[in-house]
Amino acid sequence: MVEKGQAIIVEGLHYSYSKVKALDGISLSVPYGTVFALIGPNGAGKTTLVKILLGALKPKSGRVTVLGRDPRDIEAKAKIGFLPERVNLPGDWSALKFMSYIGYLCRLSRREARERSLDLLRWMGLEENAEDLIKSFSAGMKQRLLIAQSLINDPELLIYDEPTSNLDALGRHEVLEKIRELKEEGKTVFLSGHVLSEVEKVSDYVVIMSHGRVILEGELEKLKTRGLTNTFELKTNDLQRTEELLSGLNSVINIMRVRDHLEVEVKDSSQASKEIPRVLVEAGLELLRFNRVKRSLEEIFLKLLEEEEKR
Amino acid sequence: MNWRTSISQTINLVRVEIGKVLTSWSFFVLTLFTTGFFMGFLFSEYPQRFSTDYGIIRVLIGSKTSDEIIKFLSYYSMLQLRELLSSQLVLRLFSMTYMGFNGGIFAILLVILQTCGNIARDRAQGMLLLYFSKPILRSKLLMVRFASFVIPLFILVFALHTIPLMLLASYALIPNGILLECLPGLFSLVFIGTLILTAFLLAIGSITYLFSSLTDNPSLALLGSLLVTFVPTYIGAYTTDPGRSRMDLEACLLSLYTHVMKFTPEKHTFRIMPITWYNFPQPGMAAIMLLSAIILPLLLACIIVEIREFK
Repeated sequence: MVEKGQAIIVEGLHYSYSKVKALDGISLSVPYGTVFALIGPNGAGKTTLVKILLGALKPKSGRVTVLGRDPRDIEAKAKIGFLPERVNLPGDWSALKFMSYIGYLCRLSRREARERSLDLLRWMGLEENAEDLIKSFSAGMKQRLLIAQSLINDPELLIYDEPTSNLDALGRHEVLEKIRELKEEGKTVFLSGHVLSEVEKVSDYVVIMSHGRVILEGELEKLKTRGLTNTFELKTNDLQRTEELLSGLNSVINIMRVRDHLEVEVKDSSQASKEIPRVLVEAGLELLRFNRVKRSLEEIFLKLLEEEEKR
Repeated sequence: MNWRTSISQTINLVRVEIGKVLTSWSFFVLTLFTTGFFMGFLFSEYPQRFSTDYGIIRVLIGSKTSDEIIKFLSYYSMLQLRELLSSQLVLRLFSMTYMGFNGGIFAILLVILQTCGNIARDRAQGMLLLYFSKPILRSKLLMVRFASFVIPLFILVFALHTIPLMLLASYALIPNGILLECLPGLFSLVFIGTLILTAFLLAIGSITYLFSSLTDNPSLALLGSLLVTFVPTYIGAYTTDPGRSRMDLEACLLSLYTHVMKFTPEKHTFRIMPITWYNFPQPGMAAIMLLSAIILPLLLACIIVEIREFK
């Protein structure tokens, strides 16, 4: 593992609660300037890993460095912004007061804390609510406030635990947009979540965890190629005739009619991708659609989890 | 982090925390009750007792020796301390003040209510993890919070105790023309009384803080603290003087102190004074007990938080 250029390095990490293994030899590395998504079902060990990265839990064995330091190091914490999963913000404080308090915790002076708070509230679209009590905020506004507080110390690394949980579609979209903007600013973002379809919109790297182990990891674009199947989706001007023609081919395993098109499962996709159009065109049929079916990352994720459960 | 940044961080946090205490409903309501009690005391029972003291002043001033004046001041100030710290004051006030309730209870409730949620509530709401992810030592944050509670409490006790007592004492001393000579000594001794009274309340706060570190539920911390504060007092009161157990229960930890001190030898200096019904504590031992009662639970709370938050 190359350490240079890695914001987070985790090697052979083990952690257990009494006899329950939460992390079972996890290894991963997060390059600077990327959005790294940690995906897994509830109980996969995501929050445990996040807590270790924040220096709130001590690993039983293994090595962790965050920004080249021990996660418990105060100087490492000075460069980290954290957004917790479940938090009940102080409702009787104004957004500005809360932001300033977090600023003080991050060693900002009164003036710095106020100015930075106002800048961030403006950036998050909460400028007009700066003096409003947090208890009057919607869930989306609270989440935006939490993102704002995570940026008060202009951190190099952001650790976001389930940043879109409990948000409606609009709220989720807003949060993901902000994460995208942070990525464009060059921040390193470590996202933990369980909804792959959301994090895949902003992530460069994905790690899928289950039962404390990594079951899949890699660059998002490469992982997407795993979704290619041996099934083709095709539509012609005569589906009945098409079905008859294709059922005679040796390479075809199964044909299924789905609404206005056919789904054809084949043995060898590269051979079929040439043979099927040729046969249909020679038979005088008009080929209106011919695509290879791709599974979404969500489907890959669910399939992997299913396989993991069977083990 | 240099020392200037550290001090600036501490001051800013203390400022916010003090604001939090001062704007809390429990502080407002219980301060009103406590103020009402003390005002009732000052304007009803206290002048009556003060006229008795005034008679002693006249005797002492009549002899015109500075030693005797100083001895009087020592007696006078210790009388204030003793009375404020003992259940006897509460017993008397309980029956003599027109308000008919025990103001000490409100001061104690104020302390317990202010401290019971300090750690437990933040942990339950997920804020503790957020705060501890920032570049601040866990123990520093806990100490800052406790210190922030001490300052408003001290101001409250000072305003309610030292200032009225000084004004009334001055009123008695002016006709004798010895106010200026006696004022500094009197003030310092009454001020010590304020410190000791504050220390008692802090000991209760420190015990509550310890309970708050043990649980995620502020109500449990409240209950635990009430039990620890009242039950031994009740048992102590019952075993030493069964007839007064009900009243002493209301006097709470202050009467526990009295009962403990019954086992300590009397201070010889005061045996010459016409106050044989009082058992003066050994000041050194009292100071050690008080400091231990404040510091030990506080340290334990820090250790428990360290263990619970960094497993």
